[in-house]
Order: sequence, then C-alpha cells, then structure tokens
Amino acid sequence: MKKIIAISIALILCMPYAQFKLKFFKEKPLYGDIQIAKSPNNNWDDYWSGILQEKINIYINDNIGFRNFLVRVRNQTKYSIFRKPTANGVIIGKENYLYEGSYIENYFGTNTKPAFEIKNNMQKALLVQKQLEAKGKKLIMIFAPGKGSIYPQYIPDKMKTTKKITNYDLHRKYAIEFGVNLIDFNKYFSEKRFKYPVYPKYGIHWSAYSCTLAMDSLTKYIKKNTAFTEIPTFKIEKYELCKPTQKCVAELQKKYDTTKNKSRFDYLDDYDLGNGLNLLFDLDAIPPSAFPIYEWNTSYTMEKNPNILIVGDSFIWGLYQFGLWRISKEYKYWYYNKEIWNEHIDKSGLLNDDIFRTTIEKSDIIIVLGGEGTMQNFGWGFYDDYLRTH
Amino acid sequence: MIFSSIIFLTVFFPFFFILYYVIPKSWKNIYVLLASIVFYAWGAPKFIFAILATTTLDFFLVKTIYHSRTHSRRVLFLILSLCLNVGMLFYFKYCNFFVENFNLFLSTIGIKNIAWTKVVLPIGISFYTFESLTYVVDVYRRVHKPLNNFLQYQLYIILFPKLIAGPIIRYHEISEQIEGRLSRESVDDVLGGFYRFVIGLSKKVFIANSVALVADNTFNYGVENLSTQAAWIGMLAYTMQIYFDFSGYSDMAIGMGRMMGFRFPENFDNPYTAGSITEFWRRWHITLGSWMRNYLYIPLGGNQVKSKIRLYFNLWFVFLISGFWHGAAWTFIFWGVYHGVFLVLERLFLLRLYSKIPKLLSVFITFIIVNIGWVFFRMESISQAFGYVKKLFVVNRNYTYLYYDNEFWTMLILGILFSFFTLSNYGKRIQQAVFGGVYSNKKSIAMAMLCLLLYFLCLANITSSSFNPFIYFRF
Repeated sequence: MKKIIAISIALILCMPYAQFKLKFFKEKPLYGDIQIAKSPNNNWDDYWSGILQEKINIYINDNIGFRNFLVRVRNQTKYSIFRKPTANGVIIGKENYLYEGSYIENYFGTNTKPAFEIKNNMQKALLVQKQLEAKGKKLIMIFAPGKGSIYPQYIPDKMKTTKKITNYDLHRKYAIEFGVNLIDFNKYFSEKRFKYPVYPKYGIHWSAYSCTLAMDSLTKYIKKNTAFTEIPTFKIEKYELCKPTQKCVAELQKKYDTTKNKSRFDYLDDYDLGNGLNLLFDLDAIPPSAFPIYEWNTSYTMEKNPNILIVGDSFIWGLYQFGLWRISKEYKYWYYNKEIWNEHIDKSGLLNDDIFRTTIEKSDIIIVLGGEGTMQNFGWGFYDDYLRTH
Repeated sequence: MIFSSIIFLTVFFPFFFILYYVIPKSWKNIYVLLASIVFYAWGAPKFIFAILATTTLDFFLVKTIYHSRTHSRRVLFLILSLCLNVGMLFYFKYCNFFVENFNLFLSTIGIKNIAWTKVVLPIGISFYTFESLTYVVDVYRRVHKPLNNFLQYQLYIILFPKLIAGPIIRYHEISEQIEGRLSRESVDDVLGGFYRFVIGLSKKVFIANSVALVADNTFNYGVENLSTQAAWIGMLAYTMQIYFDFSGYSDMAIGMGRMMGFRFPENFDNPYTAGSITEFWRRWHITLGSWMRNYLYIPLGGNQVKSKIRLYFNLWFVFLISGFWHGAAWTFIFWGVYHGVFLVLERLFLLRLYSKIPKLLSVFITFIIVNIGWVFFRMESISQAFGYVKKLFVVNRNYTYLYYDNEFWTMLILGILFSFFTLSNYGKRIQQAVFGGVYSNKKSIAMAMLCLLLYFLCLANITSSSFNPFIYFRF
C-alpha cells in the first residue's frame, strides 16, 4: 500500500512538467495585462553570470503546466480566506463592490494635480480646439463616469477621507470656463437616476446600459454640432437582463444572431474586475447587466460619416462596441496617446510624430476621452503633442 | 537553485527522486554526487570548480595526515588543510569586511585607501567549509579513519540537500550511512522524508514569506519615523520569519536526506520555548552549536578551564565567532557578543533566578531577549539597531504608514502558535505524531493527501508570487 502511495505521489509531482511539455489539457487563459516569459536563448556567457538560470527559472515559472489553475487557486484562497484581491490596484468595497484604487483617489481628491497645471492643460485644449476649428475639424472632450462618483456609498471605510477638490472638478471648471467642447457623462450619470445600473458591481468601466445611452448622446451631439448630420442612429427595442458570464451571454448571442435578424446584441464586459481577480469561481451574487437589444437604421452611407480619431483610456472600448465605428468612415484609436489600435481593436504600433500629423490631417472629429479614474493625466500629452507638431 | 523555486519543485525534485529509486543501488551514490554537482553548478557556475578543487585537495591532505608517521608532519598537513579551508572562507566571506574597515581606518588617519574589487560570496561556503573542517580535525584526532573512496568524500561534502544551508553534519554522523543506507531502503523513509520536506516548504512559503513582507517594510521604513507599536510588530514578524525560513529549510534538507535513506541530525527543537539563552542554543541551529562546542569551545578548554574568568571569556568568544560566522558585518558580531553576554550572565546568576520563577515567565523573558537580538541581526548598522530598540521601550505614537492585512495577522498568529505549542503536553504529542515514528497505512494515506495539497498550494503561491498584473495596461 505504501509503495502505491509513493508511486502515486511521484506521478502526481511530475504532472506539472508533463503538462508543460505535452500540453494534455487545454488551460483557460488568465485575464489581464499579463506578460509571459519566452524561452531564453542559451549562451555560455549568460550561464556563467547566472543570468541564463534566472531566465530559465522565470520561463518555467510562467509556463509550467497548470500554472493558470494554480494562480486561480492561490487567488481564490487569498480572496475567500483573507478578502485580499490579487489584481493590481483592485479594492474590495462594501457589499463586495470592486473598485480600482485610482478611482477612489480621484473621487476624494487625494491625487489632485496643482490647479495651475490643469488650467494650463485646458488652455492648451482650447488652443488646439480653435486651431482645429480653423481647419474645419471638431475637437470634443468627453469625461466618462467614475465608479467613485457613481457608488461612493460602497467605498470601504478605511479608504474614506475628507473630500477635497478633485482632478475632475478642476478639469470641468476650466473646460467650461474656457469654452472647450465638453460632454460630461460623469456629471450626467452621477446626478440622475436610471432604471438600470450605470456601473457594474464587478466592473471598472461603464455598463453596457450606460454605454448605449452615452453613444446615443454622442451621436446626437455630432449631428447637432457638426456638419455630419446624416450619421446613422439606433433605436433600442428593449433591454435583456443577463449575468455578464459566458453562459448567459452565449445564450443571448445565439438568440440575437445578427446574421439572421436585424436586432443587435453587443456584449460589453461588465465583469472585467471580477475576471481580473482570476478566481476559481465566479464572485457571489453577480447582478444581471442590462444589455440593450437595438437596431441601427440602415439608410445611411459610410461616405457621409466623419473620420473619427479618439484619444483616451479604456472607456473608449464601450463606445466602440456600441457603434462608434459605425458612425465613422475611418476610425482610429490612440490608447493613452501612445499605442495605436486599429479598427479591430488590436494593437498595431506606437505613435510617432509622422503618424500623429497625418492622422489628424485626415480626421474630421477628434475626441479626447477619459474616465474619472485616470483624470490626473487627462489628455496624456495630446494637446502638447499637437502644439509641438503643428 | 533554491528549494522553494518552481524549477526545483517541478523539475529537479520529482525527476531526481524518480530516477534515484529506479537506478541500481551500486549507481546511487555516483548519481547523487553528479546531481549535487549539477545542483550547485546551476546556482554558482564558477564556484563549483572551487569547491571541487578544494575538496580534492582536502581529500589527499587528510589522507596524508592520517598516514604521517611523525606528529610534526601531521600537524603540518593539518595546518595546511586548515589554511586551505579557513583561507577560502576568509577570502570569499571576510576579505571585503576587513578591507572596508581597514580603509575606514586609513581614511581617519588621512592615508589613501587600498584599491580592492569586492569578492562575490559563493553560496553555502560557510556550511561546507565547516563540514570540511570537521572531517579534517576528526581524522587528525583519530575519531575516524579517512575515506578511501574519493567519490564518497565528495558526496559527503557536496550532498545537495544540506549543501546550501545545512544542517552542518560531522562526518562520523553520516559515514556509515553513505554505503549502509543502501541496504536499508524503505518506503517509510521515502514517504516520511517527503512529508517532512513538504512541511518545511509550507513553513517557508506560508508563514515565513507572509510575515517577511511586514518585517522588510518595517525595517526599511526608517527608524526615526517608526511608532512603538510598529516596531514591536516588525520585530515579532522578523522573529517568526527567520525561524520558519531557516527551520523550514532544515526540514526540507532533512526530508530530502531521508528520502535517500540518510538520517541527518535535527537542527531545530522548538527554540522559542527555551527558558534561557543557554537552552535556546541547544534548540536553535543545533548543528552549529554542536560544531562550535566540539571544534572551538572544547579546544579552548571548554568547562575544564581552571578560572571562571577564562570560562566566561571562552563562552563569550565562541559566540563572537558564531556571530561573525553568520555574516561579515559588525551587527552580526554584536549579535553574537550579545548572546555571549547573556550566556555569561546566566552562568553568573540568571539561571538561578529563572529556576525560582514560573517556567512560562522565563520562556517569555528569553523570548524577548532573543527578539531584541534579532534586531541587531537584521539591521544594517549597530546605531540603527540601537535606535530601533529604543523605539521598543520609549513610547512613540508617530503614525506609521504600514499596512497589516488579514493574511499577515493570520500567519503571524499561526507562527506564534506553532512556535510555542509544544509547551503543552498536547502539543508535544502532536509533534511526535507528525514527526516521529512510522505511519500506519491509513495515516500514510491521510498524510499523503494532506502533503500533496500543501505541496500544490505552495506551488500555487510560488508561481503566483510574481503574478500581480494590472487588469489593463496603462502608462
């Protein structure tokens, strides 16, 4: 009997390496901005200095069999036993509402930049706006909502402090004062009451519901304030309530298969923070998200659409998902004014001055968009880059 | 290669042992030797040659000692061997320290410093040098004959489970086992060794690594800004870290040795339950204490010296050397001296005082003394260490921006519980049940399942330790 136990232990201990080499099982990938080490090049110099051994250790660590499962086990243990989130910057609030730390800092104003810096930034925004207007182009600034402002009641007590003037307050103040074109969804969604949640409990971006409302508002703004009056619009038939989990979403995708009918179901990840924890099991009591079932009018031609360039943070993805690409003839996206993402939301390279100039030259509408969580760096140097290159 | 690394746990450990059990007995020792060379060459690729060269030289020097006909010739080769071993240790471990301090002295008297390129310390040098010395001295003292088989000697020194961090094993403790264990192989040793290995791994990964974060943050915080509360918590965290890290490593070494049929000596015996510093050193790093007693204290005269002053000096000196052995820095020397002073005080009157007070009180006092000693062991400078100790006893309510989460408190409490639970008879029985004796079939199944669970939880922690991504990349 003991020999059987010993042999069983030996076989079990070999399984991670066997999986690494032979890949018996398909492993569910981990969620998040994850860098996996590649197999190092062997050379004697690196071996003598110890660098090769370190690289091999990291490579095996990142690629060992069942690693994704083991990471989930560890994360689940830390979450379930110690209430400890294992994604960088994630905070567990009251009633398990998840936040990112920067959203709370921005809400309380603990990371507010000096007022003169923000004022300076908005002055530059106005200057850029005027220069673009002279060329027949429109600059629009959009403030996406912040979870701190939408759900301050769930912020954990240990993170609460006296609310001071915030990056958002100052950006809004100076944008309005100087007459910068502004659509402020943070104010809109935090002050009004809505039928469905505008922010998901376990998500860090606006919900599918609030995204469609925002997209609707943006479309109407463009039609009213630019020469592009014939851009397509959409009509919402209803909202389907569905937990933002794979099973539920797959059912809706099947039900509203757009190859068979006009009504669209587009999915937005309302569970990205939950996914980002990389747990073994879904979080408790995931509230259903309200996914719009909507239909775009088909009587439009892309030729009458503007070329849209959008510069900003990850809140762009929600607008893209609900049709920003549909109202653009050519759509360009610069993630944090650094990475170029193409029409298919894939990274395609880094921004440089030539691409900066040529893209702006071709664009009709330029949107600079950011959520409250990244408001401390709003613009990400876009206005400076424009003034430098023009 | 450290035992708690992914490459060791998922590659070296399972495949080494599987092959070990499969190959013929006559090949096992050479196989272990080769694996040990690979193990050391992985972590210290250049120094493997140094260790192979010095062990080769030592082997022949010791044979010459044994076969020398005259006493003077024996002494000569003994001195040669001692110079080789201690010289190696001195050069790699202590030269930097002496040159730095000498240069400091030269600076104060206005003389130009000596140019010196810092020497890198080969991993494990303190441990295998001391083992080499036991072999040399014991052959000289005719405690045992030298080995005829060069490979067996190499195996004794380079045996990988104990090469990096002990236990320090005297040759005569293991000599019979090198060949004799092969005819006594048992599955109980394999399983018992595996369980011990996993317990050691768990001590390190769950307790030591968890409390280490707080210990590091506290000791790096800046003594002047620490509150009294934070100072006590940080000190306690380090006390648990060093014990569970070191004893965990010893458990892993002893466990792996047992899996090969070796019975290494124990290195820790619930040291924080000691009721005096004297007792502490019979329970903490036992093999080092044993080495110091046999090769330093006794040659200096031990307890047999005529004067009390000489006795106290011997005690204090041995601990000064112990401190210095731990590291080439004044803080380690001070730590050794600190323990030496308490040993002397105990001989003078403290032991008599402890005998008159409840045992728990003497345990508590000893624990505090040991804790304070660890502050000197951990700090970079003696003045900082004194500053830290002052914070412990002069109440300071500075707000310290250190965060203690639930995981830290849980592991700290578990650490304290495991450190002291053998003060009760119930705790002693549990320890005996886990570590002592042979398991029944039922108990083996339960232990195997528990240890596999712990093993994979440790693996999960280790592989995830570098996993802390942002959900979205940001600039």
